[in-house]
Amino acid sequence: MHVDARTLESGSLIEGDLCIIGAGAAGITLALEWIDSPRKVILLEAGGFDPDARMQELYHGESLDRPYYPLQAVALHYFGGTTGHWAGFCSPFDPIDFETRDWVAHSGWPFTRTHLDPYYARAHPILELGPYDYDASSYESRDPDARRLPLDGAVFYPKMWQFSAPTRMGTTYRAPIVGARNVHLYTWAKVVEIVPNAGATAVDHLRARTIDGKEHRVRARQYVVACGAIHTARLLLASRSRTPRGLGNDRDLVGRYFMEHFEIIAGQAVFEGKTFPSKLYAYGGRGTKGARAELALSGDEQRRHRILNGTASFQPGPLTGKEQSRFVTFSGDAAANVKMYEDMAARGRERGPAGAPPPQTFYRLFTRQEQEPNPESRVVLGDETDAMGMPRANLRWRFTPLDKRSIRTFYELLGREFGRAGLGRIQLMSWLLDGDDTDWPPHLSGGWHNMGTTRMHDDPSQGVVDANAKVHGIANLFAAGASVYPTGGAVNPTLTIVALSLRLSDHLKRVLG
Amino acid sequence: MGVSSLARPAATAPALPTPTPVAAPHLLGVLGSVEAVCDIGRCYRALVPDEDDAGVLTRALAPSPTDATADDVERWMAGRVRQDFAEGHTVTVQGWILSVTEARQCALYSLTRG
Repeated sequence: MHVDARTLESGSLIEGDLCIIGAGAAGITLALEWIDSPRKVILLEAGGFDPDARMQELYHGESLDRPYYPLQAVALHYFGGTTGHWAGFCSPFDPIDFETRDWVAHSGWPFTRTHLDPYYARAHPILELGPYDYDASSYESRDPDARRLPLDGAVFYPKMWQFSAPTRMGTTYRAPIVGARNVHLYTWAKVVEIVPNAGATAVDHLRARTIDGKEHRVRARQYVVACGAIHTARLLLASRSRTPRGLGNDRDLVGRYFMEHFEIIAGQAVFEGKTFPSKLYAYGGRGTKGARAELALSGDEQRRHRILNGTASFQPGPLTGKEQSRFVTFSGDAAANVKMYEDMAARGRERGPAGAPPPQTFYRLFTRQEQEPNPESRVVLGDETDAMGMPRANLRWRFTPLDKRSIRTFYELLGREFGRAGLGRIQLMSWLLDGDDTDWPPHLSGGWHNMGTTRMHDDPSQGVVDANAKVHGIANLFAAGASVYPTGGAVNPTLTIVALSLRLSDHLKRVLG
Repeated sequence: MGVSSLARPAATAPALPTPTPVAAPHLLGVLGSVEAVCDIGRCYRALVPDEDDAGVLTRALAPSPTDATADDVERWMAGRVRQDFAEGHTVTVQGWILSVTEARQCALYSLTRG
C-alpha cells in the first residue's frame, strides 16, 4: 500500500516490523523480497514518484577538494532512486576484488565471490538481465563474429558486461510494491534523524519530515538505511542528538573511504590495418541479448605488478586533444538528466544490438578502474543545513599514488601484449607519463558510483558494519547499498547492490523469524 | 595535457621513398605518417643520446647474413620486434609502447630523412 506522508497529521506514529529508509535499488530490492511475508514492512521514500527540484536541492553540497559531479544531481531523490538515470551496465565483481591484497590498503571483504554468486544469480531477473553467465566463451559460441582478441589470456581476458533495459525500478516495481498488503510505502517521508535509545545500543525511532513541514515518528524492530553512499553516511553523521559524533561512528569511520571509479580516456590503440577489435567488444544492445566485453587484467597480473583492478574499452576514433570531463558536461538539473538518459535508453532499445561500428584504425582507450580505499577520501557534514534542517553533505574526494600508477602499468602491459600479438600499438596520453602520480588531468571523470562510506568489516575498528551489514554497536540497524563496499571493484555497482540487498534480506528474515 | 604528438591516420597512403631495409620501421605502415615516425625517431635519439648516430644504430640493428634480401631483412626485423615485446624489451616514446628494435628503426629512419 501507499501513503503520501504529507496527508498525515503531523506527529503521526508509523510502526512496523522492518523499516527500510530509502527506495532506490537497495531499498526496493529489499521490499520486493518481503512482499506477502507475515511481517509489516515500512518503506520510507523522501520524495514522490517523479523528480522534484525541491527534493534534489536537499542533496546539494560541495566537492571540496576537486571537481566532481554536482551533488544535487548525482543521486536521485524520489521513488526508484538513482536507477532513474542509470545506464544499465551490469557485471559481477571479480574474485580478486574480495581478497585482502597486501598492496591495496584496507582491502578485503568478509566473504568471497563464490559466496555471493547465488545472490548475483537471483539479482538477474530483478534487473531484467539474461542468465547469470559472464563467460566470454558463451557469447563467442553464439556468434562467429564475436571473437576475443588474440592476447595472452593469462594476462588480459575479455570481461563481460550485460545490459539491463535499463530497469527503472521506480517504474517497474511501483505496482507490486504499492499493491502489496504488507509493504507500506510512505512517500514524501524524509528521515532526518535516527534516534537511539538512551545507551545508544539500539535504534528507538526515526524522525521523518515532509517537505511541507510536518514531522512523523517511525518505529520498527529492525531498520535498514539504504540512502546511497553519500546520504547514508550523512544520515548517520547527522543523527547526533544523543551521540555527538553521529550514530555508529564511535571509531570515526562513517563517511570515510568514499570511493568512485576512475573513468578516463588514457590513450589510443592503433590496429594494423583498418579493423575493429571484434563484435565481442562492441556495445551490443540491451536485454537478454545485450552484452559486450572489456579488456581486463587477470588477477595474477594484478598480483605480479601490485596494481588495482581495471578495464579498457574501445571508442572509435583517434585522440583529439579535446577530451572533456563529464564533471563539466553533466548538468546539475537532475530532472533534465533523467529525461536525457531515458531518451538515450529508448533510442538504444529501438536500435537493437549495435553490432560492430565501421572499422577504423584508431580507437581511444576508455578506462574504468577501482580506487584504492583511502580514509581521507570522505563525506563530511557542512555547517549549512538544508530546508529540512539537516546539515548538508560535502565531499572530500582524495586519491593515492597507487591509483594513477595502476592505470599506467595496465596500459604498459597492454602495449606489450598488443605488440607481441601483432595487433598494433598502444599510445599513452602524456598525463600518465608526467612522473607525478598525485596529479590528474582535467578530463578525469567518474562513474557516478558512490561507494564505501559505511564499509564492511567484522572488526569495528576497521568497518562501520559487520559481515551481515549490521552497524557495529547498534543492535537493530543495518546498511544496504554500495556504502558497505570495502573495495569498489572495476565494474558498475548496481548488480552488486542488488545482490547484497538480497543477501541482507535473507539475513533479516532469519533475525525477524 | 594530452598526447605531445598526436598520430592521426593518413587520409591516403603516402608515396614513400624506399628506405634501406633495416631503416624501414613497420610503424610506417601502422601509423601511416612519415612525420609521426620521424618524430618518434628524433625523440628516441634524445632519450638515448648514445644511439644518436646512424652507425651505432645500424650496428645495433644490422641482421646477418650480409647477403640477406630485403624481404629476409623485413621478416627478420619483424621477428625481432615480436621477440622484444614478448621479452619486455620495450621503450615508451611519445607515449607509444614500442619494441626497442622498432624504436631504433624509427631513429635510423629519422636520420636518413635528414
